[in-house]
Amino acid sequence: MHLLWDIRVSLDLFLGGLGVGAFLVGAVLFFIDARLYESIIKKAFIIAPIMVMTGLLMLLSELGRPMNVIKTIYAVNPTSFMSIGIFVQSVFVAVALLVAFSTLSKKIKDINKVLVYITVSLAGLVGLYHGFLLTGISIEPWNNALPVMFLTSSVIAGSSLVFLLSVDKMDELFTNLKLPVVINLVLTLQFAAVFIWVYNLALTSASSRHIYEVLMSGFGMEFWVLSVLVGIVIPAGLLTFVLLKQVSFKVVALPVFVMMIAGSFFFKNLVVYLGQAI
Amino acid sequence: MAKKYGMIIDLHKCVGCGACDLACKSENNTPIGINWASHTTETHGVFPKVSYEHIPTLCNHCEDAPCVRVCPTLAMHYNDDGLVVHDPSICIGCKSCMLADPYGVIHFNIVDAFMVDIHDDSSIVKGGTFSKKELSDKSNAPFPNFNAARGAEGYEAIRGKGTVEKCTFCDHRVKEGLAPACVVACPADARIFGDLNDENSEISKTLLLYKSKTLLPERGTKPKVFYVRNYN
Repeated sequence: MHLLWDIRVSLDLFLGGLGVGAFLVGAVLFFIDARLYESIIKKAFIIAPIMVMTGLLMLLSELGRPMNVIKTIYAVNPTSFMSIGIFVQSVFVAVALLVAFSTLSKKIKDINKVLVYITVSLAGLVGLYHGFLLTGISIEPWNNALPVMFLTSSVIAGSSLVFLLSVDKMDELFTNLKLPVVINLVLTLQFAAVFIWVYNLALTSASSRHIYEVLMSGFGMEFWVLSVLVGIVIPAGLLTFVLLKQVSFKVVALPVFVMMIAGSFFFKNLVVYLGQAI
Repeated sequence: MAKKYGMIIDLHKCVGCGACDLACKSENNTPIGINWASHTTETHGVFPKVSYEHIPTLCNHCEDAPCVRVCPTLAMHYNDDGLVVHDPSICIGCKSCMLADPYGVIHFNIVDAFMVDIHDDSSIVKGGTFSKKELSDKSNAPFPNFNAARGAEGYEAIRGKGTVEKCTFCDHRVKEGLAPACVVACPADARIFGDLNDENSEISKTLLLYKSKTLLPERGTKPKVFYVRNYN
């Protein structure tokens, strides 16, 4: 299959999502109790800009004339999501780097709250932009469900990465935040967003119906097994067992977080590929 | 009133010879695999009731062009005459325009094919035939992918890699008061080019005379390439 946007675009969306999600969860913990979750917040604030910048490097390597990206500063197209998104993402990276440097140089509780508030707002916008980037192209597989779907996927993957790096704090997170309940809530939201996406494909028009058939026949394994089962259903099932006290959170935490990160990549990669499979 | 250039392709006159495709390649020096002007063919029915259709295709220079809408730098833009043209100097090569283009008429240049011709000094008969480099040097033009006419008008005459390209309605010719190369080359006069805003132009009169159709009208792009009558 000849692809105009290859795996580097998927990696940009995935890594960018990891960074955005990590910052969002870090900011939530920052506003809940900056002292108690200091070590987790530190990791979240530091990995956020690194992940987003790594994703952007992937994207730059995919461009035909990457050096021309500098010209997007003055050559602006207000009808292009990419044009607007480049600005939002650049500002996010700049302020997230500022937060990361503050994290390294001072105590978490001393970081400017307004700065974190601005950065977390930008993180949310960048998370939505990843979906809008595809939706703006206006082709059937990239319908209006993508912004919310990508944002929730990013939150799931980013928070999973932060929690994976903080396994020593798992007990605190479980008891104080009721983490399985919160994660199951976000997974349910993600499942609903995926349902809306597929529902739109199946019922909107004859051509989108064709995309739906391609998804089910040509990408069935990637969709049902890697994206839905691995990324959503199995983690949600395991966390439900934790809530029912059938199994300890410590036992399932590692596989659940790894599966949610993998599921996010598989899903975003599938969406990028499906859009070009027609 | 501003000009609004468009084109009519009279399918009843079209003989399917492909002269338009070749004239475009000759005028714009497009490499192998990149065809600014092309065509589709379709065969319908079951023998003995079979029909054949040849539909010339090119950029539709849409009034509401999706490629312009998605371009992050407005490298793909409308010029003063309403043509959808591309400025490679600010193109980042993201290929969004290709993804948004429902007609598949935008191409991405992945190789710097031109440079090979400038540097290749091998000849078939040494001392007897020109090498590509010699020909390039002596003719003062990078052989063969240099569009001297286009370059003379200040346009980028050598298309480098890493950027998209497409039909320009031969805007370098239109600027000189000439018709696009495909229009001139058509042996059956099947193509009519002109100003849609001029009610006395041949294109406006022909659009009143025949019922016209455009490609993918349901996409709402308002193409300015119209097809009249049928191939058969």
